[in-house]
Order: sequence, then structure tokens, then C-alpha cells
Amino acid sequence: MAYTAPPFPSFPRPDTLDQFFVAGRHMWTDIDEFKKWKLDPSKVPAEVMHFLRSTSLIEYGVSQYVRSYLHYYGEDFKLSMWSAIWAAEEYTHYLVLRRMLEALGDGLTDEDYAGLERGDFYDSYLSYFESARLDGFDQRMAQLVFGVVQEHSAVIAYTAASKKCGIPELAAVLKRVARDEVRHSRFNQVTLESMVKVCPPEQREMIWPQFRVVISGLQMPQEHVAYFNEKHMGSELYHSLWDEKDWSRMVLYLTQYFGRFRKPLEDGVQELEDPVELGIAETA
Amino acid sequence: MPQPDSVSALPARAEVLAKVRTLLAELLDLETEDPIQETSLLAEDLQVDSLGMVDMVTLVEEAYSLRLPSNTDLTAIKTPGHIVDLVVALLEKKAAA
Ligand SMILES: [Fe+2]
Ligand SMILES: [Fe+2]
Repeated sequence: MAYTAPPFPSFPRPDTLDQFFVAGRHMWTDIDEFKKWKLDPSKVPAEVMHFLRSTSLIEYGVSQYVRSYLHYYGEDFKLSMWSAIWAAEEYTHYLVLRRMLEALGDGLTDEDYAGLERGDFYDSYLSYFESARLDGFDQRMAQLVFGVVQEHSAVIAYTAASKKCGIPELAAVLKRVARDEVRHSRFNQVTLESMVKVCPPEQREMIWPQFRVVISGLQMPQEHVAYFNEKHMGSELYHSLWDEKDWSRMVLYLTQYFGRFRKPLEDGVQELEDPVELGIAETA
Repeated sequence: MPQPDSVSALPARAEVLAKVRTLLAELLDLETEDPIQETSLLAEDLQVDSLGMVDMVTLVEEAYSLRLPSNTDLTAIKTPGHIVDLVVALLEKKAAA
């Protein structure tokens, strides 16, 4: 098949991808160390144990999400390359969370992995995405809007779990995961902002209405795999860790972020505050 | 200390309420602002859902060139009067800065 170049570039500046690597990235060099950890499960609330199991499996399912990213990024090879690098980080989260479960004496089982394999994430996500994507909206930009929201909700979820988990060492690990999710969300933002500088104006104008559609029917990956619902590890578990302030903080952050695209983007737009620190600071 | 000049330039509370009622009427596609009273409940009386709050935040910020602080508790905004309180406080803070 002939190569079809994307209508406009995703990374018009050569340093766009740099932002993924330099903005607070760390390498999780202590994954093997975690094998030696022993954590007291009696200190961890049941819903946090459930959350660790659920998110560990969600992160493990990253190959499915990469498949859909590659579908939408298609022959935009730079974005496709980024997807693979990003996927390695999500897989690392799986390893870290699995180690935490093992340290708590409650590792993943064959049934968990088999349950995940029964999912039809790819087809289910594609049909959801296509029903939600605005007509005529560049599919890469639409995926980036989804990416910002999904990664930001991961920030809120891991920050909430960090606050509620009951063990300081575990809290620190979950906060580190949340920090990675900030960078994931931020990279989707940076790319969207860089595309806005070169895309036709009508594409930029679709960002805000697309955000409204996404936020009004926000779906997490686990909604596309039956096993999560069978085991009560669906979105309601995710949200059970959030309080109203978490919800409020997320909606306000995303509204203010996407609101900036209602007009042509100015240079030097004000950075929003660190969502992890905001969440941690509000611990009562 | 607030500067006397900038404080006197601030819109009166009644003026902000009138503007908020207009914004809400547009948002909710209402022909009249009558159902929108200062103490009407946004969710129960006016059917403002979470997406409506997203739109309301944007309209208010744009109308007054304001930015709501990131720790604003949206769940505490239950009436048009609460929106007015927030706008008035932010305008005073901005004028004093
Ligand atoms: Fe992750
Ligand atoms: Fe992520």
C-alpha cells in the first residue's frame, strides 16, 4: 500500500519529543528491590487492594492500547514511535504494581491474566472512540484529547490511592506512578499544542467540543474488558477512591486546559499547577 | 490594601448576578431568566449537570477574564448566588493585586 503522509505534522519542532524524556522522568531502577519488600496487608483498605489489582491488570493490558494508538496514529511514525516508548512505561507500572501486590502477599493469578485475555478491548475501544470522535476531526488530535483526559484521570486515581493506602512506602510508590501519569498527560498536551500551531483553524476549533464529548461520557479502559466488571474492578472501583474534591479538581483542571483552545493558542500560555501536589496537599 | 480606584470600578453584586443569570439562561437555552433565581438549585431546579458546570466555568472565566483557583471546590457551587459570591471574591482579589 502506498504511504500516505499525515495532512500536517504532529511534531513540527524537532524538540517536541524531548519533553517526554526530560520533564521529570525517572527510570524505576528499584523494581528488583521491590521483590524484597514485605508490606502489612492489614494496614491497606480493601478498596485499595482491589484498586492495585485492577490497575496492575489495566497497565498490563497496554499492548491492546498501543494497538489502538497505532491504528489512529497510523503513518505518523513519530507519534507511533512515541506510543511504543510510552507503552514501555505503562508496562513498568504493571511490574511495579504487581510487585506491590506480591509484597502484600496477594499477587496476580492465572485467572486474572486469562480474564484479561478474554477481553475484546481493541474492537470495543475502537467503536467507542468512533462514536465519540467528532466528524472530520483529525484522528490523531482526537486521540490526543482522549489521551490528556485518560492520563489525567490516572493522575487523580493514583494520587487518591496514595493518600488512602495506609503504608508510607506504598504511598511513595503510588505517588511516583502518579508523577509518570502527569508526564503522560503532559506529553499528549504538548503534542496537541504543537499540532495546533500547524493545523487548519477548523481542526483547532474542534478540540473544545471534542473535550466536552469525552468528559461527559468518560470511559476508562476497563469498561471495554468484561473481566473487570465481573470482578467488580470497573470504573466504580476507580471512582470509589475519589472524593468530591478529587472530581472537582479534575474537571476544573481539564476545563481550564481545554478552554485555552477556544481561541487561537498564544505563546507562553500559563502552566497549570502540579495536579499530584494539589491532590496530596488537600489530604485532610 | 485594595486600591480605592480599582475597587470602585468593580461591578456591584446585583450587576454580577444579572450577568450570571444571562449566562445561565443562554447555557440552558431558556427564553427567560425568570426560573434562574439567586437561590435556585443548579442541579435540582435548573438541571445543570456536570457538563453544564464545565460550560459555566468557561463562560464565567471568559466573561470576567478570570481564572478560578485550582483548588476551587466546584461541588460547593450549588446556586447562582454561589457563582456570584465566587466571581465577586475573585474580582476583589484581582483588583487588590
Ligand atoms: Fe500507567
Ligand atoms: Fe499513563
